[in-house]
Amino acid sequence: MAKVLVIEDNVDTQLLLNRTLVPTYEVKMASDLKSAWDYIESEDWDIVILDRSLPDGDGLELCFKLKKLNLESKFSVVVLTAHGELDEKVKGLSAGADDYVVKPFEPRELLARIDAILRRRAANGPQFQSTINLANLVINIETHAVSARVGKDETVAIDLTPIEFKILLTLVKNYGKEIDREHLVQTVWDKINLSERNIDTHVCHLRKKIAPGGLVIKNRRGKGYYLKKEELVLKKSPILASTTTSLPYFKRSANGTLSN
Amino acid sequence: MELSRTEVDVDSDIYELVPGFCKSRQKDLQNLNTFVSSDDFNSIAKVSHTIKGIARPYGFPTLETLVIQLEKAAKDQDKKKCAEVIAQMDSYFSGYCS
Repeated sequence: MAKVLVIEDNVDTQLLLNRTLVPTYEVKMASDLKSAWDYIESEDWDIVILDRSLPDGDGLELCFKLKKLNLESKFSVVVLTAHGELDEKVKGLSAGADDYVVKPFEPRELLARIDAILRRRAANGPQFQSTINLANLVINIETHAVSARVGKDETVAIDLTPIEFKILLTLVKNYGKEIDREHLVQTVWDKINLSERNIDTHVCHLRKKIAPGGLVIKNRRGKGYYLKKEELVLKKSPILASTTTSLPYFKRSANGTLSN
Repeated sequence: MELSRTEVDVDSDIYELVPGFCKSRQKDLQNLNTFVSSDDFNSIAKVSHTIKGIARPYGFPTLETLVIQLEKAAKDQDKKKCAEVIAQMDSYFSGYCS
């Protein structure tokens, strides 16, 4: 059952929303931004329904905070407010809200909108996961923390620069596919006129840093960079595999021949 | 408090909440009268803004129309108009919630 956090200070609206949402969703109510933030920090949510005129500030402050902390994808935000002017709607959606519903609202319409958002979230699935596990690498999209599992219960933190993190995330999301430099530059810097070769230096550093995570960044000439698991590279190289396993059983003689 | 009738059809689940809604609005009316006496237009605008958002889902579109007028009058700091609309709301509620 999807979880909905309602941030609304008016009791009558809370009751109305509760009646509307409870049969379908797991619902909790917060009356101000402070208590809402406590809920957000302590639990996972699918949808947050956000009023704007709250006792401790404009509900949109929450959207700005989520944006600042790169937590926008943690859940979807539906602003539910009586501020129905066009400028206010634009402001709300620009702040990061996924939908903007003006009070008075039709309960059935609100339900339909929430369903639509949840369907989109489900369709985009992995995009909304906060942690990606690939090979031995663990990437937290929200906190940008990256670590590598190096033992049974042992992990080491990998310190990446913001640019390296963006490159890594782009390569992970396109795992196995070549990403050309131009695309990487646009994704990472959002500037087309920057030298594409600048990316090589960052990729070089990133390649070394993520090595403990069992991933290698490869470069296919004329195509671009792509990410592979280290073990897959070994499997694709039978000569290397047979050499490493066979050599201990052979002795090389003075004339260069092998004998066991 | 017993509900006489509402103006529009509301879901039966929501209908059960209407007496509570009426009780809250009667409290609002008392506050609004106090705010008018003290020329507290900000509070009048705030209360009307809140009611504007919930009147219709609870089945009171006429109330919504009245609070829209009240919010405007409060923003214009029109004391006479505020008092007039609040009186209309008072009489409206006495007809609907008893």
